[in-house]
Amino acid sequence: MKSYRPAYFIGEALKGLWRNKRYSIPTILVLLGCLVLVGSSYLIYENVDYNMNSLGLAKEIVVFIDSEATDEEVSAIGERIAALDNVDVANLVYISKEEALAEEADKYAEYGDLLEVLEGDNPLRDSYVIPYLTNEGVSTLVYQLNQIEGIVKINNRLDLAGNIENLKSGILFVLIVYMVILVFVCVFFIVNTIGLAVMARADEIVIMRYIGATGWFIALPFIIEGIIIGVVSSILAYFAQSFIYNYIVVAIGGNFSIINTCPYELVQNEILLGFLAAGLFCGVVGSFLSMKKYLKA
Amino acid sequence: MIEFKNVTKVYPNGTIALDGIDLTIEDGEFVFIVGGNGSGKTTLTRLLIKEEEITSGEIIVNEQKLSKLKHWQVPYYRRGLGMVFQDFKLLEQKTVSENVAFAMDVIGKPKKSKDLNVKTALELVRLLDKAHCKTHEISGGERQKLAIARAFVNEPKVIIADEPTGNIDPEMSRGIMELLIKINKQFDRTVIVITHEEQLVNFYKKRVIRINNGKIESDEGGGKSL
Repeated sequence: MKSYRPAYFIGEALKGLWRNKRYSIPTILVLLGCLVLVGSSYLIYENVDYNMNSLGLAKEIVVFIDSEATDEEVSAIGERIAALDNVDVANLVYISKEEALAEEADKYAEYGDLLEVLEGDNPLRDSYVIPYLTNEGVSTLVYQLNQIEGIVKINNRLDLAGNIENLKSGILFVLIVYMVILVFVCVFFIVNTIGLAVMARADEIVIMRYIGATGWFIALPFIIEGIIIGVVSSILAYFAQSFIYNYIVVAIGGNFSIINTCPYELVQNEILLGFLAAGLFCGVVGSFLSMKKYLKA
Repeated sequence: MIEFKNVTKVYPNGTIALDGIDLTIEDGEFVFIVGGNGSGKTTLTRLLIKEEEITSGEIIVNEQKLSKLKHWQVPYYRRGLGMVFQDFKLLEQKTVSENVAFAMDVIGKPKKSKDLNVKTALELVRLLDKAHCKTHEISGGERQKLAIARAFVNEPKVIIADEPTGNIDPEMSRGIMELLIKINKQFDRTVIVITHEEQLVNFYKKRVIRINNGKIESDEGGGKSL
């Protein structure tokens, strides 16, 4: 019965990495650098999105209802809004004027006496927060909302939101271009590193072939070597990214308090999984390309 | 049984290495293949181990046509052959026993049978007492014995020795030849020795196939275990 031991292949891969450390360590550092560059672009993208949401520039329109409208009229307006195209009905939110006042009171709690001047009068209006599905149909939606009797004001920040959406698209484009270029760079480095490891063991490979080793038996330690390079780079890049990001967050927090920074905890899992996927991809593809001729033979 | 049927090998530069070779080697035979430099004997070996493709004709080993073998089948075919080289081709960083065990690792033999087979093979070549030595710590003759042990450990039907005495002194050469003859007689293995050492060939009175300019010049002393 055949019994190929996984420990043999992993052991050979680790020995190969150590033997070839002059090339494998720089490759790990190059991969680490590339991953941090891609990760940084992603974090910029996420932060723009985070700031859009916190500034209320999410894909939503706020309509205010005439203060004279009865509860029945307010509900009827809500039903008409829900019936419109391009409205994300599931997330449509009604905010009563009492809720709006309570929210404002919370927001300005430190100036508690400020609201006392109102002497029980609530100057705010009932409102609906209307999330929409696509940017393309927003103008039509705004027009349709204007036609609904009882709506006295429509708040939308289409221009600003549009500009920020454009910025996001730009960053996303740069991110994708970065990724493509850096994947090529990483694969190139891994192909060369594994190629050198193969050269260092050329005599051993010749012997293996004469003895009757299959292509997979010869190639597997090198493929594992590539995978280890990818995974180690990913993990190191994750910690480096965390350190750099938190350092920048502290700096921004002190000097540019107008910018809200997205907490790293919100994106750390995506960063780790993304890095691992990219590292594994580069490791597997790079080592496969290096070992192609042995896998065929 | 190994059969060469009208085998021709022409290299891309136009060199005709083998020209219509017809040859049959029976199971359990001991055969010397001799010839000068450029005679075609190395090409014949390379064709036999499927390192090169024939230009025309057919090689049949144990009823298996080599031209029909797929790439992925070649390693499994080679497991039926034991190769011994002039330059030993040992793994220098491994010990004597590890070198033999490696041949079994490659084909995925379980540890239990591996230990037993390694011991048997090292006993056969009388290197059991040096099992834990590194290969650079043993003599040239012992290195070739180790290479024979490695070739033998997986119990191949055919052992091909390419200039096995080329790198060792005459006295040790006799020891190597005795070992190959012992494997042939005691274990009924087909042994093919490629050499240019006429003196050695004449001493053992075995079947001798002479190749010259890619053709068989003579084939004498045929028969099993002469």
